[in-house]
Amino acid sequence: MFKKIFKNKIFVCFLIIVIMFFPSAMFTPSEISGRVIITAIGIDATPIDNQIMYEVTVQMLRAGGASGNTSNNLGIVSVTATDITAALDLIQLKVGKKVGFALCKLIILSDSVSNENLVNVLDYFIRSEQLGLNTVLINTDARAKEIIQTSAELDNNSSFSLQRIMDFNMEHINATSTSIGDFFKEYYCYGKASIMAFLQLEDIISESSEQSSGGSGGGAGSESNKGSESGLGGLGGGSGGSGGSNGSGGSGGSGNESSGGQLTDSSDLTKKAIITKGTLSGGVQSSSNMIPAVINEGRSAVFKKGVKAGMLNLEQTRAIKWLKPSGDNRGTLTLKNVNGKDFHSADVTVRVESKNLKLKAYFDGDIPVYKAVVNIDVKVLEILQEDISIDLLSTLRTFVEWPLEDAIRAQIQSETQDIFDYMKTNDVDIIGACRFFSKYQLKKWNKYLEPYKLGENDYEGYLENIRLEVEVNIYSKY
Amino acid sequence: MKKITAGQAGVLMFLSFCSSKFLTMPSAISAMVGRDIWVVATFAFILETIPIYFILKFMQKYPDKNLKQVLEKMTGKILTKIIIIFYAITFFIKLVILSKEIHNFLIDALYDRVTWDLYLIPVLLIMGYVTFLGLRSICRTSQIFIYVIVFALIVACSIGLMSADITNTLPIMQNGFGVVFHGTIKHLFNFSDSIILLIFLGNVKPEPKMAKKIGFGIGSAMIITIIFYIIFNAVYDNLSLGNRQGIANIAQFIPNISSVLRLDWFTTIIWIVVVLLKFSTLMYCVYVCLLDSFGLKNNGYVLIGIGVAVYLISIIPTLNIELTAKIFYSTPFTIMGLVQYVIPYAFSIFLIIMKKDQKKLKRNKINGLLISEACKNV
Repeated sequence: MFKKIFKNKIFVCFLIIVIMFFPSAMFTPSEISGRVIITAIGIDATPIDNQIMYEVTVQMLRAGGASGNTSNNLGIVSVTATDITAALDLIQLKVGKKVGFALCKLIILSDSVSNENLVNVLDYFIRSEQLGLNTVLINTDARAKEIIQTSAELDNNSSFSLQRIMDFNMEHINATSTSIGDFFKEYYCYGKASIMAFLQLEDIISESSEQSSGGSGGGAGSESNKGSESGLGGLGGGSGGSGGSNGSGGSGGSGNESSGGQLTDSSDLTKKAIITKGTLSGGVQSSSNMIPAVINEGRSAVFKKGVKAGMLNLEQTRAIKWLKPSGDNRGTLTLKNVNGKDFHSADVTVRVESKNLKLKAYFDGDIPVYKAVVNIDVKVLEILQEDISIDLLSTLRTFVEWPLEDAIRAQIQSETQDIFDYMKTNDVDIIGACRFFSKYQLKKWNKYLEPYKLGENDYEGYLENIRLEVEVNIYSKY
Repeated sequence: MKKITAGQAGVLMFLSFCSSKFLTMPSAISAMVGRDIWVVATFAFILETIPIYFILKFMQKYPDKNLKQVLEKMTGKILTKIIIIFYAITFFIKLVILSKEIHNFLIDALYDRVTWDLYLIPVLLIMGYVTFLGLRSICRTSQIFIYVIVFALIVACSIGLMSADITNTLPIMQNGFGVVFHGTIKHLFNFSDSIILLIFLGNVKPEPKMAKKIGFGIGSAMIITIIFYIIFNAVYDNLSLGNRQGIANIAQFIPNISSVLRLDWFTTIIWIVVVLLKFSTLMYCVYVCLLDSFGLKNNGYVLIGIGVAVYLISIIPTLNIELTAKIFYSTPFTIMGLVQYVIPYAFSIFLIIMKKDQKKLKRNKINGLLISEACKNV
């Protein structure tokens, strides 16, 4: 019988393979137990002895933990090194495991690094095959480390709360994605300008007496939450519960306490984060009712040649959507002092239900014209005026007619002109006009670009003579 | 040997055409021609379509003639041997390149610590065994996987489309036709999968729609490849040259980050099956060419020899991606890429000669019949 079995070629093949891989399969620890899953990375820079040192903070899930509880497996490690590779090596050394970036979706860059060429800072990540090119870049004027610490506390489940905010921004505010892939695409394009989502970190006062017993997190809309002022749902409320319960950290703690490669469990994060914040705010307020909150006001940082070149406010960021086809842009428009048949000094808010943008690039003589034909479908959400007539409550009317149409048109044209003027003044081609002209008017555009050429694929000042035309067509299906 | 059906041949040709073209090729072409990768693919496929048409027509008309028989009839025994050895070398080089590509693919897209020296042994053992069983085994395995593979392709392309800006393919031929032409010629060696069809000669069961079925498989693979290249370029624009694992990379640019994680793993795992199927197909091609050129019958030692040779070349540490690229883009390789098309194109002439021969045969037969009839009458 054995002879018969051993005459079977498939069985022999199978046996050889089993024998060959048996030692490596049985005597090697499981791969997952030797890795940590990075969910977010924060990078700060500090000059030490005339040399820039990078402080890299990673938020990670320790895979294969015995407890099975996600929050217990969440950790933050922070190290300082001369370059990113060295920093990541140090992290591996501290944790005793290899780092894996396959699930890393956020890279937070503080102003300390964004004032130098980000291409150098991000070089490691763009070369990494593990890191997805849709990993979102976020700029902050706070320390990236603090943003990571705070966000972990908000949603005891790694960086997902920040990811949701970034999704919202991308869908409703930013017309362009701000991923690492997009950043590099723009950098190697003619204009070398790109925008990046911007987050702030602020102390907010928490109602500790209420929150110490709850711990369920307030979430968006809490009165104490500054984020709610921006109308985008602050993140700070979520940390209230644990902030109250752990809020005995005292105000005098060192801001660096949680750094230096110490692995901290998420249960300690509130304490550490508040201590850090308490120190930053001068230790005046009691840490028990001060909670650091990540504030998203829809602002964006503008980058030129990899270096931070300015900021856009919410309105400017939103205005880009009228000039770039990407982005969903179901935002709202508030029109002040609308006068007409139905309206008398009314403030009307309309929601853009859908947008269709057709861009055209052509030359009017020697002048390049960037024309945007915006087709929008709008719905009236709110009408504020004194002596409101009952006619304005009619469900049979859309009210999307003159003078409202004209007001919407004027508003969009004003917004687009504003952002275009900003681009001209600061010479930042954040809508990719140069690339757009090169797609459709290559010969004329190349000729136009000649005087603005500085070097290989490097142009400056070409926006100056471009004329912007915006045509707005308004519809209402409702 | 049992013959394969036209459907099976179509499926195997589809997989052979798609497999390696979705790995490093898009980025390698992009490094040479910029955003015109799909234009290069279109030109290369046009160059291929002509010989494919003649080979299929030949196959339909003379389903029992294999490559060796055709060549011996047309060129004589010595030249036939030389040509078949040339094809054995061509297929062997393709096999080694594919082995390197599989290694890179595994490292980049799946697992960064693959010890290829070790893993290549079972791969060669299994693929060698499948090859030994014959073309039918490879085809039947392909038939099992084809639906999952097509689904994986659709998933990859759909995810890619979510973040694609098709206008990124513009302007077409920005750097002129010369650059695109140069890129096409340099990559002909990689595009030339139609030569696999030569090995199918005489191995496909005759049926009325044979040519159409195989042609459909090849045609759809060409169209999907061009669409894939367009999407790849639309997604990555000027970064195309930096993303060397096309099929794995194309699904990584999902704009929504929190709700969807990494869907590229699905296509990555499926694609390993595809490249392994092509691996066994190429191994079979080398095997058949060697048997034909040395007049051997089914011989396991030949396969062991092929396996050992592939293994030894694949594990040369200095043969890294840069050196491979240098060799690949060298002039001898470019010439080889062009020469391999000579026989496929020659099939247009073979068809005419065979037709004339048949006419002659027919006429002789009729004459013979008439003579015998006349004799009877006399």
